[in-house]
Amino acid sequence: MSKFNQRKNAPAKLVGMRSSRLIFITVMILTALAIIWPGHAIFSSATPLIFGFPLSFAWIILWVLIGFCAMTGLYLTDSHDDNINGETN
Amino acid sequence: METGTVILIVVGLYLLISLLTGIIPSLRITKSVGGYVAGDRSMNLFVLYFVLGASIFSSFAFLGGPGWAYSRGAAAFYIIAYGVIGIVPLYFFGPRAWRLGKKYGYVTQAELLADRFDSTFLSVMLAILSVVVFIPYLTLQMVGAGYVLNVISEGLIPFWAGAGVTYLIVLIYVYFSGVMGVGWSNAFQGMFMMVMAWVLGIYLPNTLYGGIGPMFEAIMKSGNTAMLEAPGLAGDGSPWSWWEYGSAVLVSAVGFSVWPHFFMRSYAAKNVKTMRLSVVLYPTFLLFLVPILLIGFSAVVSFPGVEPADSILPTILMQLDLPAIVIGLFCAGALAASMSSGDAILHSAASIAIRDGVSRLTTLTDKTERLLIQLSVLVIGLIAYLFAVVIDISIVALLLGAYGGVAQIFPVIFAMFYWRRATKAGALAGLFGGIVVNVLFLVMPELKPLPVHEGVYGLIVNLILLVSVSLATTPDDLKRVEKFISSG
Repeated sequence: MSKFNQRKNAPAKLVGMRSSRLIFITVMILTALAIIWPGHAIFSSATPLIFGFPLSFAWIILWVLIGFCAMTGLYLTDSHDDNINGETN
Repeated sequence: METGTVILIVVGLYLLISLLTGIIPSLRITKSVGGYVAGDRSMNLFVLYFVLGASIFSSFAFLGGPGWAYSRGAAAFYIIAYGVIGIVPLYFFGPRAWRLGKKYGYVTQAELLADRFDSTFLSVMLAILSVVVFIPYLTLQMVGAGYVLNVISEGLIPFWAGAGVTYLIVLIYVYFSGVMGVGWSNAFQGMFMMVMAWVLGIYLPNTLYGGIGPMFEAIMKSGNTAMLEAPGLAGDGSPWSWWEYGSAVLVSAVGFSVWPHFFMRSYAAKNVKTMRLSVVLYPTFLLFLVPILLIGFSAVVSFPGVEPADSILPTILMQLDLPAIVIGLFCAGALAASMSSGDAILHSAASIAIRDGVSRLTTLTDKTERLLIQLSVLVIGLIAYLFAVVIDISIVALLLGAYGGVAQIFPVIFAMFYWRRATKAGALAGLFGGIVVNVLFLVMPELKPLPVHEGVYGLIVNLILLVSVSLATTPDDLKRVEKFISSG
């Protein structure tokens, strides 16, 4: 990655791009831990019901929403170089 | 009007709209391979969103999803869980594949890999593997369609006719319109099945129990609390282990973004922005699985002991006294789930077989290649249909084994974009080593040291071989490697 970032025609906002991607990847690793193990094992019981859903079910739905927010956040902050035609620099 | 007639009219209308939405795009695409396979790289956000969503939600989601929730409870959450993390790599891979495709004319996944690792062998092997996996996958979609029509019509529509008519429609629009036909029909089918899923998922708990909360309370009162506790129940009704649940989620998530028919949609996007946005919006499609699971849960107390569990949804619908038009709409919804995956698989299988297989071995003109792809659509459709009318259980087993196999593509795709030092020998050793180990543990599960999904063992061997063999061999041509690394 580092060599690639040093190429001459790299986009100007490279630092911003990298930190937003770093935060995003951290959130997604947390998501993986939360929905596979140990997160889901901690929130594995049927009760209490949250908006009518068992805790174990509500937990998964919550992380789908968190994943969606994280991707939206990445999309909005990631300084990707997509112009209208989608061609790279 | 008689119930049967109403159902037939509703289903007939649905099929007609599917055919029209599928066939109209054929007027707009060019008569080239690029037009047929990648839609001239013109797919907008609306269509691409539904293509990515609907390709994945197949007959399995509409029949198997409720079946899992009904018989295995919280184990079914795995279907929702893996998509959240599984889609993420496509945010990074998709734009790279798109740029390379635009610049060098790629339209399939294997083309990228074959060029990066300079290997015709890799391309042809991936083509063969894809077709071997896609035919049973397609067969299962046809079985789902035939089955639903047969059960709901109470035997009025024989299985072979239901599957036959449904897939004749698919065959026609895929033959003429290629990926754009798949795209526009999926947009219609995707919206349709989402609406049907939400309507049924809210309607059934309310009618049977007075709400979602009361439904889950009733399940707990009936002594089934254990099924609501993660990770749910195993196939035999005993509690499922975290090893098995976790590894199933992991392997499915790793394989998700590299399914060849899914990955190659990157090329169809109009631009990089469209590609990224449809990935970002993908989780909204995942939420559509929530009502699907609610349908299954709604039957736990009200309709105990239904076998096989996959038939739970048609069973509920037949036992409740619903208006014929509602049953007809559901029927169409289930067909939409089947067709929207079936068409994508059929199209990809034919494209991959010719583009990555036949045309690598002999020189074809663009026109001949396109025609061969179209003819392959017919041949592959027919083979899958023949399997469907003489189905046996081994096909289901073959497909389940495929998930671990497809996951083995992930490391080489990652290395292609991010690891300069990966070599041809390393990629081939990793990919095929991983597949062999996966198949070995699939066939002989008693050899597993831990009860985790066979794909995990495949991935471990895959990574070890990819890294060690790559480091032990001379680096690939730097100029070629750079083309892929600097595509980000």
